Formats: sequence, structure tokens, C-alpha cells
Amino acid sequence: MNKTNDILEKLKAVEQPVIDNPDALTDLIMSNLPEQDVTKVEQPQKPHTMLVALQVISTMAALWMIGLFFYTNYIELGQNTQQSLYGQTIDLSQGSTLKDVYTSHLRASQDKSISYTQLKTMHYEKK
Amino acid sequence: MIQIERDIISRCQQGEKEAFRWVVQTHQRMIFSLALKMLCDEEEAKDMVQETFIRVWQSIRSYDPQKTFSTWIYTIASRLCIDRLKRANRIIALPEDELALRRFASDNDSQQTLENKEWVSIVRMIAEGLSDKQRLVFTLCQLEGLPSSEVEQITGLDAKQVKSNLYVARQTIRKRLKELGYE
Repeated sequence: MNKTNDILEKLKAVEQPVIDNPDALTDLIMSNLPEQDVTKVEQPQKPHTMLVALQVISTMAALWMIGLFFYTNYIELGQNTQQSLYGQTIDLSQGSTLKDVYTSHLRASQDKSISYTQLKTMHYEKK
Repeated sequence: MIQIERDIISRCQQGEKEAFRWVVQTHQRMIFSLALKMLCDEEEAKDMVQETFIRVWQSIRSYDPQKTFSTWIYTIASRLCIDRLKRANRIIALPEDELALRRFASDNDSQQTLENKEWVSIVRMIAEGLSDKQRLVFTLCQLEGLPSSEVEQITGLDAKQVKSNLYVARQTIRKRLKELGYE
């Protein structure tokens, strides 16, 4: 047996620590004892049925509102996308080179941005 | 559990303080011994004993008679010890502790007794560097001589964890004693 085991075994066999004045400690403990809590621990009450129903309804309403919000946004987004796509379509049939196609696209955009007064002037000029 | 203990606990559960005096008298030494070895301070150990019995009194209604009463008290005391160790500074061996250990190790008297301050010195010397959990498992298994199954119940650790904590604790102590020239 090595020395460590010797020491540990000896410690096991030796008399355990003693309280110098056990009665005084007992009295001290007894005098400091609080009153036991005799009230029963209240069981958590079940939530009222009406409250549960209200919770379910409000949750469903909230979910419906969120759904509606996403749906309307989706519809609006779809329309806008469609409009912007149609508005920016490049007609590839205009010209044979990329430059021609781009020039005709710019011209077409310029045509679209003509104001009402310009249109009126053009109309009178034709006359 | 013997009938008399069962009756006394039942009386305590009904709020009879005088019955609780018996509980304190019977178990205070056992809790003091654990507290002294865990905290390495006699006054703090007495404080701990007091705190433990106040907790025992307050929660005695929730005590399950299927379990051993002393194991239940040990469980409360162990938790309080760990809480105190967490709050306190690390326990460090003092220069005079080595002298107490040398005296103890060299004494071949089989009827050897130790004073509380010698217990403190020896434990402080050998258990320095152990974690709180290792210190608790080592104290319960090795110094208090409790069976492994009871230590499992007290600490809430499983058999494997108790075994590994004890192994690491013993290895650390072995290494420490080797450094001090005991191997």
C-alpha cells in the first residue's frame, strides 16, 4: 500500500470531528427555528374556459390578419411587377444590331415621356 | 427506518418543535463533520449546521418516508455546502497545515484522534485544488465513509460520475502528496 492510500485509510478510521458544545448548538438551532408554513401550497388554478376561448379566437384573428396582409401585398406586388415589366420591354424586332435595338428603345421611352403640351404643339403643327 | 424515528418525523411534520430537538441532537454531529471537511472553517461549519436544520424544519413536510432520513438531511447539507463554497474564496492550504499532515502521517497509533483544527489543516492540505464537486464526492465517500449508492442519492450524480469524480480527486491528492514527498 502506498503512502496516499495509507493516509486516506487512516483518516477514515480516525474519530470524526466533534462539536465542542453540542447542547449549546442544539439550543441555538431550536431558538432560531421559524414557524412552519402551515398554509397549503395553492394549486395553480385552471384558466377559465371563456379565457381559453378568447385566446383561441384572438390568435385565429391575428393569424387571419397577418395572412390577409401578406396576400394583399402579394397581389399589389404582382400587379406592379407586371406593369413595370410591360413598360420596360425592349422590342428586339427594331433593328438588326444591339445598338439599333437600344437606340429604338431610348426613342420609344422618350416618346412615352412627351408631355401634354408637346402633344398639343405636335397636333397643331400637323394641321 | 426504525419506528421511533418515523414517529418523531411524523410529529415534526405536524409542527412539534420539541420532537425536532431529537432530530437535531441525533444528526448535528454528522452534518458538522461534513461541513467542517467541506468548508475547512469551524465557525462556518457551525453556521452551516444551523442553516441545514432550519431548512430541514421548513421542508420536513415534503420529506418522503420511503427515503432514508439521514440521506435526505445530507442532501440538504451538501447543497448548502456547495452554495457556500461558490460564494467563498478558494480554500488554500496554510504553511502550518503541512506540519499537521506530517504529524498525522508519521503517527502509527491506531487509536489516533484529531482535533477539529487538525482535521481542518489535513483536509485543507490534501484537498487543495479539487473542484467543489470532487471535494464533495471525496468527502462523502472517503472521509465520511458513505457507500457509493448513498453518495449518488445525496449528490444526484450517477454511479459513473461518482466514480470518475472520486478517481480524479484521488489522483489529484496522490499527485499533491507526491509533491510533498509522501510517495
